[in-house]
Amino acid sequence: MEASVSEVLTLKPPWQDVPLAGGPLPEIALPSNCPGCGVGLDREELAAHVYVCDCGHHFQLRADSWIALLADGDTWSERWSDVRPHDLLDWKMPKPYHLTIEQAREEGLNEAVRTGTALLGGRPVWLGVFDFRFVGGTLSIVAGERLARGLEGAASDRLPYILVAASGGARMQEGVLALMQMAKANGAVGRLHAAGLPYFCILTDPTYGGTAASLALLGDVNIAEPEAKIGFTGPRVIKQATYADLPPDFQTADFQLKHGQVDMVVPRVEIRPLLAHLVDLYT
Amino acid sequence: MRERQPGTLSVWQVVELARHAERPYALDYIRRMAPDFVEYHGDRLGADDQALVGGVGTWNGRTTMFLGQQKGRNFPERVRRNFGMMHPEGYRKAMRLARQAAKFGFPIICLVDTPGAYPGAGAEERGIAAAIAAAIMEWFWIPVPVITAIIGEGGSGRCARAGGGGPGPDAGELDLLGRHARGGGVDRVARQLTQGGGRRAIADHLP
Repeated sequence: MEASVSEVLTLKPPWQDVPLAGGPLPEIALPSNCPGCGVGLDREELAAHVYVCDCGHHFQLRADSWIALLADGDTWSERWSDVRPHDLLDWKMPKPYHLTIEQAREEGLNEAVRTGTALLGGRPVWLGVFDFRFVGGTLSIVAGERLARGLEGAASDRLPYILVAASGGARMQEGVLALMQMAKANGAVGRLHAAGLPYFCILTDPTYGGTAASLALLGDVNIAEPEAKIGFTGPRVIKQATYADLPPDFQTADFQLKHGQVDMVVPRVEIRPLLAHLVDLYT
Repeated sequence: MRERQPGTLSVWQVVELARHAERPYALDYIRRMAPDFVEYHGDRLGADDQALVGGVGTWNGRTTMFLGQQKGRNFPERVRRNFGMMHPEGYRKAMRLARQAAKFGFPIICLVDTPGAYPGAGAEERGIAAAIAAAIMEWFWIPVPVITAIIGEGGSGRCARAGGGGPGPDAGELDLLGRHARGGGVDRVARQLTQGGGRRAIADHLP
């Protein structure tokens, strides 16, 4: 009896034939040594291993990395990349917002969220991906608009929507107009749920504030990356406001698993095969 | 005791068998029925009750939602899983997954194996009575087929109905089934269940 139990558990799950990445990931800026284990990094090896060190440290990926990781080859078809941010409130702090936007645009970034359609292991899906480099991956008017349109697109195409979150929250420089995006995005998530379509959220480091409090934690399945920090208020602000002693694992992926907010903590190398399997199960 | 014929065991021997530490537990069944099982965690409200396991997998060619109480093979695991006794979070997790199954039209298989809801102060503080009540009511409105199998203990009717997610109106019979059924009793009670609730119950035939 016991032997056959372990036999079942060591069976290789059939969906693991799906490769861990859909194509080569673009090169990202890396320190010379891994912050997790201190060992010197081999760029090529790390890129082939989707930027996960042997010690388990997950390097933060950009939007284009996640698109390359999840989408098959050149199947990514981006939508609404021409929706542009504007400094509607004439914001000056900590520096003029229009300069922040221009600088990010010069670095080749196109807002904090990119959305579009792709094939994932041959399965058509909608993707929405946050880019933390664009003003901390903050939820802005443009981000909210792209997310809402993408979610509605998934509802009308009857396809699953996969969100990859990496965000500091709502964009301060757009004030209440950014906060409004929480409602707009969630309205669209509601439509997707009402249409009976699956919504999978991948929570990467960090997922905070208005993003966590709107669409990022509403998935049918919430999948967190190991060691990702997920929460609403960051630990620094909590300490300032309440002088509380926080546990060392506060707001980590495992903490949120224990507290019922995420369904599972999955290493990056297993996320794509798992998503392919979930898409099969739910469609 | 294993060789004894059904009908020759005393009631207490049946109870001991139902609680036997080497019985297959919910995850043993689930992983055999659906080797591609993906386990989910958490009630999305504040905790993950490990006494209640749940998730999706392919069974008979269909995506199926599995729910079940899990007792644990060794002492640390038994403590972690609270000996299969659910806290309010377990009921809320079960209902979250049942609602998800309803959204996607997945049938639900419930594997009941519990001494009962957790009789502790913490469970009271977090509203176990209301959690059970809400679960019982909500099961009437889950518009997908629900199959309940008692695979060990189905103690304290409330767990049989709400936790593993048995059909509400049949809870009394489920309780009876778990505790005392043997031999012809199983068939009789299963028949009652089928007629009474319009839903199927598969009884694990006690040895």
